[in-house]
Amino acid sequence: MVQTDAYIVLSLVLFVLGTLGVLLRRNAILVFMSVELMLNATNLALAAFARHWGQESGHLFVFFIITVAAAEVAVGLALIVAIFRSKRSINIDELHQMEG
Amino acid sequence: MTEFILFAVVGALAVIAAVAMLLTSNAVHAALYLVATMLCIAFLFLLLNAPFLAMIQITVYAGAIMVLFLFVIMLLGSEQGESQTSSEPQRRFRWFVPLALVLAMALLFGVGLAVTTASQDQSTFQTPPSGNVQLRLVNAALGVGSISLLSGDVTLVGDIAYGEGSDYFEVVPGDYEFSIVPADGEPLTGTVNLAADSTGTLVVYAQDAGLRVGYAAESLDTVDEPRSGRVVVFNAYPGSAAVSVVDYGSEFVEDDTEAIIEGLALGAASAPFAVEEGETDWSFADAADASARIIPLNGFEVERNVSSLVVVAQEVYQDGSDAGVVRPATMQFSSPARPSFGGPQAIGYALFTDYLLPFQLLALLLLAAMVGVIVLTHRQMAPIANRIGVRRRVSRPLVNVIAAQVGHDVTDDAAERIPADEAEVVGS
Repeated sequence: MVQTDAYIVLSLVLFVLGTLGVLLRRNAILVFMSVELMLNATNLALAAFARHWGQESGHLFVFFIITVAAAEVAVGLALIVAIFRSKRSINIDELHQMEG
Repeated sequence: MTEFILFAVVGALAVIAAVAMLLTSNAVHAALYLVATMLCIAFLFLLLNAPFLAMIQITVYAGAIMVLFLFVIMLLGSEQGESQTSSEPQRRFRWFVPLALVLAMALLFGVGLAVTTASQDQSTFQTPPSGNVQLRLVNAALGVGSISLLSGDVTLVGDIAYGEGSDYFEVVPGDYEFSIVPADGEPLTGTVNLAADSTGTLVVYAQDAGLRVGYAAESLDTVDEPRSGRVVVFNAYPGSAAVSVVDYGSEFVEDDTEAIIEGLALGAASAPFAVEEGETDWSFADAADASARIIPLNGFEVERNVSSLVVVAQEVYQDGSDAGVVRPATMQFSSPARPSFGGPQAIGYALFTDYLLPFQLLALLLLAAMVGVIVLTHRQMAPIANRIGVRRRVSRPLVNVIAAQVGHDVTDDAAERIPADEAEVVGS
């Protein structure tokens, strides 16, 4: 059996890669995809801890996170589409103004 | 070892795909790399005993969510979004890159250090705790009143009346010392060796006016055989040396007597065995003489995926005399089998018991998200719909337009054909 800490380290690496994506990429859709990667890394850690303690709750949390992520993606992409229609760009550097 | 190699290969693939997602400039490629990462994580879920989550991950994440991403990327035509950006804002945020890298390294180093220090402490992190034992107490002892189970000075189960059983409670595996205190009579101490992750019942019975205890190993795992339940038989009947469980079959047919369990000694339990669901027609008989029926097991029904414990013991029948008559009796204890860890049954069960309120709130949230998406995109979609309608009207075949104006079909072979260049003028 693979030790739990191996999974935690893997999930940590994936999470940091997701954070880098959020901070460094300028395309709003890619920033969004990096957030999904961070959520996935968290899910992996939760599933690893669920097996570690033999508790089903971890699986339930992963289930909830996946469902909320689905809703969040739907709303977020709708926002991106709406922003693109009004500004003709989804580069987040050009979207720093609140007005309009 | 195989598992670790699988973990290492799949984990490395996940990290490589995530890095590739960060580095590629094409948004469609980035989405496909993210799909690869998610498939790797689904595989890791399988390694983590979470088959349901693995399937959800593939269908919802790699399927639905990523299709949505790809759809929006194609819709906005932003595959090369970052290459065509104006240079001025990029220069303004240039200092961001080293800062982000330093922050990421600090996070990686800090948490990685915490994980490695914690994993050196064997007791807290590295070894998952061994599974506790599910134990329960059944009172089949005649004439001692209710009994209690004590471990040391701690009362684990109190006041179990004759013929009743406690619920399952958890104890740590290993040699388990216990004492059983009846309402009247001498207490009994004993030790039982409990294997990790096992399930069992302590059956207390009386023999020669003294308490005895027997351990019946059970199982609460899902019954693998289709449409079957699981049965354990315990013999607490001191009236004969050993008992058998016999299905006498039809009383009109000779030689269809079938022994289910043979020669179960007093204080012994049968191994758990699977029985097809439905009513049984079993009886307890003397092991030495199969035709000597002790007591029929009336109305014993095996239910699907249910573990049953059947105890044959003695009871006092009030026949009018003061003391009554001691006669054989049966007791049945049923408990539904536990769904396997991480399977859809287990998650569904938790969802509808402990997590019902979050589940309902989630449904509300999804509804709100759906309404929000429709509201966000509705107004922008209206002019486009009109444009599509206009174009469709224009692009209708010219022959049909003329036919609608003239009032009859114009593609008659006998009719004179309009030259193509004149048709263009009429259409515009």
